[in-house]
Amino acid sequence: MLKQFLQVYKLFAILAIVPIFTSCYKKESYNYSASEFFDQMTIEGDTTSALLSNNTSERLLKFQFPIETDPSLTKLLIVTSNGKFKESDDDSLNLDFVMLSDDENYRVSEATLIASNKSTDYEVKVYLQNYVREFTIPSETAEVDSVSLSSSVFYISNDTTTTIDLEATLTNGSGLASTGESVTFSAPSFGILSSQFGTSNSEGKSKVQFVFTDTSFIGQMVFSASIVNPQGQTVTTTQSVEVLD
Amino acid sequence: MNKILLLLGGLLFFGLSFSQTIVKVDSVTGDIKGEIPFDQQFYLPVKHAKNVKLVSLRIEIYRNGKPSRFSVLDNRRARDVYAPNSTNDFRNVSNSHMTITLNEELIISTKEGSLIPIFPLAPSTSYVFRITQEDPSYSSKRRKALLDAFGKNGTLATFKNDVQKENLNDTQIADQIDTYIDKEEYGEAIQAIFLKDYYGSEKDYELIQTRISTIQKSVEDAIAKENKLASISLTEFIKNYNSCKAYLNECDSCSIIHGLYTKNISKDNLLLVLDDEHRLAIESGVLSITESANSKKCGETDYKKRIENLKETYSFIENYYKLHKHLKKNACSVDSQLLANSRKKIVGLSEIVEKWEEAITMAKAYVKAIPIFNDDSKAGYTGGGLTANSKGKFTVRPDFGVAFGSNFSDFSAAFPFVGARFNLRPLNPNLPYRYIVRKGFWHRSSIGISFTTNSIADAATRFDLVGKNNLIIDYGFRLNNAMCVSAGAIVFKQANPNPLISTQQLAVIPSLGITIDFSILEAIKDVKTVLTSL
Repeated sequence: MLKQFLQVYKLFAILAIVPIFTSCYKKESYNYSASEFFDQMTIEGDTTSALLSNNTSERLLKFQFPIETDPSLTKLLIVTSNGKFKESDDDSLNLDFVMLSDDENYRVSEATLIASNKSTDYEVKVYLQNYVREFTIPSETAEVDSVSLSSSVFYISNDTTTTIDLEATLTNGSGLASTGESVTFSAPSFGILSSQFGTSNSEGKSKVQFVFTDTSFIGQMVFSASIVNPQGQTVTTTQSVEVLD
Repeated sequence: MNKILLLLGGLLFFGLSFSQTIVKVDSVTGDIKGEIPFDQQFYLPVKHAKNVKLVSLRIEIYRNGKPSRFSVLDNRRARDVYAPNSTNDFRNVSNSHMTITLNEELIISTKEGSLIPIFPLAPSTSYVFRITQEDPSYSSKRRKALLDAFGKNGTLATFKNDVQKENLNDTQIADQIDTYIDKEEYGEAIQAIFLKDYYGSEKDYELIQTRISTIQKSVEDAIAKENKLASISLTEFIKNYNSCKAYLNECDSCSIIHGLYTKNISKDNLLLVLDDEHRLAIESGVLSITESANSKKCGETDYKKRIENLKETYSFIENYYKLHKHLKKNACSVDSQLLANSRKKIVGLSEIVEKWEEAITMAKAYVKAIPIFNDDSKAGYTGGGLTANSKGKFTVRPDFGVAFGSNFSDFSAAFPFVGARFNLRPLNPNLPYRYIVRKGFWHRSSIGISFTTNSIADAATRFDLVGKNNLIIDYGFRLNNAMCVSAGAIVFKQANPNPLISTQQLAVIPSLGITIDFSILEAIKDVKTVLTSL
């Protein structure tokens, strides 16, 4: 009997192959945590270095899943707290993973984050099914290095009821200066400015108003706006307005 | 209707068989393990429960699930099959179960511990061994009397002293003999005759011999009625032999043949053969009675050597018989009962030797007639339904049952199933399973492939394999002709545990179940019968 029983091990060995190629069912295997979703997702792109908030900087983010994953189960919604995505021109973007990587081991999808000129961090939330994962791209303030000044009129009559709107545009390279960058305005002595100091807004601009206090001046008057660039130098720009009788 | 009658017949049969005891067959010749060889004779050790009086042993042979009575036709058929010059082709006989050519109805009388010779087996024959407690024709009192005559009340050497104490005269002893004979108390009669013979006159000798003959005839007739193959235990035989020897040694008239008496058999040898192990060995032919001192046993399968041993034992008993005929002529006739015993023993052994030679001849003819077995083949099983043509083949039977599946943690359910069961040994469903002797592990083993009839799906993690059915693969251990307990695996589909992969994969959970075989064809036939009868 023992010998026969030992011979049966061959039979059970064959039967044992079945579970090897499959698996034993465990209901608890289907209780998921967020990590079981996002551990399979990798992000290629710089998510740690700061993004210059000059309203034009871009950061390419590449999301990818293994090739065996189902595209219908990997649809992503990404939302940024600052800036916007180039593909949607909005602060949110839906991603479909229908494109394969060069080595065809992954399904990939790309998103381009465009910086704003707000100098707050870029908090990006990734929604996958009912789970969310968040990462933060630090923001780097775009300090002003040049300024331009414009007025609402190029001539005006000397009248205390007339006002001139002055607008200084603060820039950083090819982009805008971040919000809150300082600018100093100056005006002729026969009038006053609504404020001598201003800061850049979300459009990189700072606005003041000028009114006459002496109505006898006729001629060209010059306004100026000054900033201090990152090197500590004062950069001044002017704007002229002709005063007519 | 036929099935109902069959069922009633079966109940009646079992009811009538209630008083019978199934003999436990624990080995072949006490030593052989494994399959019973069909081409060799073997002995069946008969055992029965303690305090159960054994009167006769009945061997029933089942063929196609029905008891065989061994009619003349059966014997002819078996003989035709075995006969070397037969023109019958065994393989073309529809009822191809070979039978054993035993005499008449195979009622064999035996005593506790004795061996029943079984002759060459056909592979597909199944046996049921029963001990009946019914006393057919021979009263137990007679047997007891015979046993009492030798040994129970002391040896013959001391018997005369016991009788002398009663101070009986010849007339009283003669009256006592007549009384014993009338009452059929033969043991008492024999004792009285011995006493009469020992002290009696010559003129009474003829009368005594006549009475002895009458007793012997009565006893032999009674034994013959009970059992055509009645035999005497060799232990009893040797015991009487020694008793007689001790008595004869005190008899001066026997001293002349004392040398002859001990010529072939030493006292030590006789003491040795009293041992049960030696007795069994001698009766099975494994050991010759003259070699018992050296215990030169031959193998169980060396049947030629075993025949030689039996012939030697037979020769010894024959010489012993002749010796006592000589003693009888020399007025030393105290062993008349022993003579009767010896005679019967000789007859029994002669039949055994004769059957052996016949059996070997038959077996060789059988082997030659069926080419799939060669001379060295030891194939042959007593498993029901196993025939020469089906040996080694699977038999497949449909079955249904219920399996309990569980992953031992968070899921369990019961699954009715229907499928097919592959028995690892052929199985005759018409033969009651308990009548199949020597069932081995493989006879009980089967592999089942079934489909569940209910769904396992939860629409989230589990999905059915095909439609609403799932696969069960199991190992079955057979309990009887119809039922198995099974252990295996339920195969179905499960969602990929990876939440980002939507494909399904095979999954298993272990299962335990119980299955019932059934015959689809029979079931369909029954349904058809019912429908057509409407």
